[in-house]
Amino acid sequence: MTPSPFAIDTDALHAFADGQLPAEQRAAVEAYLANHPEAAALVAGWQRQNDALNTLFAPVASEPVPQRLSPHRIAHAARTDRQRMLRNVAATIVVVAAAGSLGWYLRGAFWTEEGVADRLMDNAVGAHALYVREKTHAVEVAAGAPNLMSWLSNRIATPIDAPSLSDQGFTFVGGRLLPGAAETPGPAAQLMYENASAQRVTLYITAALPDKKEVWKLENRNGVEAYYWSSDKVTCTIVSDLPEAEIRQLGQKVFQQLTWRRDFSKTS
Amino acid sequence: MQFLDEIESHVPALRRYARALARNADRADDLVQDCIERAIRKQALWKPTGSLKSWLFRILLNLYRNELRTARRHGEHVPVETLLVEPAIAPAQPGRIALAEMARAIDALAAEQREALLLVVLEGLSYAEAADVLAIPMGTLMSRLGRARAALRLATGAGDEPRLRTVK
Repeated sequence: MTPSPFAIDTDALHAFADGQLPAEQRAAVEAYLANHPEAAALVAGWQRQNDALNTLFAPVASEPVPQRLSPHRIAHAARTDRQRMLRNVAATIVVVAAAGSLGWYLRGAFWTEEGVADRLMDNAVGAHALYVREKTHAVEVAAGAPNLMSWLSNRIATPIDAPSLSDQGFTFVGGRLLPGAAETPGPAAQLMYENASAQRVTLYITAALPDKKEVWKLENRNGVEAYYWSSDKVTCTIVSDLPEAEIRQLGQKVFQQLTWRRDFSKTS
Repeated sequence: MQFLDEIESHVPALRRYARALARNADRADDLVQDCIERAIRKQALWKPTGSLKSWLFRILLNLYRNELRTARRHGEHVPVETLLVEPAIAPAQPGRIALAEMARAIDALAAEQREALLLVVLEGLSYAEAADVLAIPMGTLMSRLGRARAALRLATGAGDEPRLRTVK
């Protein structure tokens, strides 16, 4: 037995095979193996395994490293990605904000003023054409009926009184309920007036539009004059085949009363 | 930038180890790329007192194990054509191990034995470093090494050496 300065056990043999022993211990193991052929064969087997493994895989480390494995490149890409992401987020915020403001702007410019006004005027002109011809059923509820205006006020969701147009020679005939537009909070009330020569005027009234904007329009549609306005209280379209000047005069009267004298209820 | 340079110096070794583990050049390089990306992202987690090399290998191993787990869940099979080297010469000299045989034997090892053996033999890590990378005690490392070598010996038919008796 060779005297050994440290225990030559299996771990020491592994360490020897793997070249992990300091010089003097390596010498001690060599001396031991010289006298122990079985251990020597085992260690030699391990070393052949080591050789085979290195032959198989060691050359990989000398292959040229692909560009995509360059840490500088990867770090740069990560930085760029982060910056691009931040830029994208910022750009998205700007676009969304811009689209939002534009949408809001367009909503005011096109949608409410043109679209709704047109549709309400169409409704008013259509209803006028339909009912002014009627002799006995021109209105749903006659002017003298109790609660006519409170009923209509409730249904269209805004308080209104039938304006008095007696100064212009028109008498209140009565009213009916009609569909409004999608944008109006409720349906519409149609009020009909008549003068001594059986000329008729209808008012088509709805609650105020959500934007409460003041808009005026006077148009000739299908041979009748349609005078539309909206305010923060109501929208009203006056329809009649009277001359334009007379319509304007009527319009002023109606506007004043619907807007300012809503609380005097004398007609119903 | 020193950090990146130091990582760069370990890339060839990481590729070698990954290739031996994954046995497919593209998959191995994907692992290394993930490893580098992760190291850069988690740079703050690396304590400069420890060895950067060990840290990188630890990251690589975790990625590899995650991938294995996923592959197992999905019932994936590692393609056979990934066998690296068919030796040009027939396994001639007795005692020499046929490389193809060795490649197959390595694949057949238990993962924990393969990881340990390759760190020591291929990467030349000291036992202490290897135990550190694998986060296991030194004794566990030595026993994995021993079992790996015994299994390889059986599998490569190089087991004709006499058995080692208990050495005192």
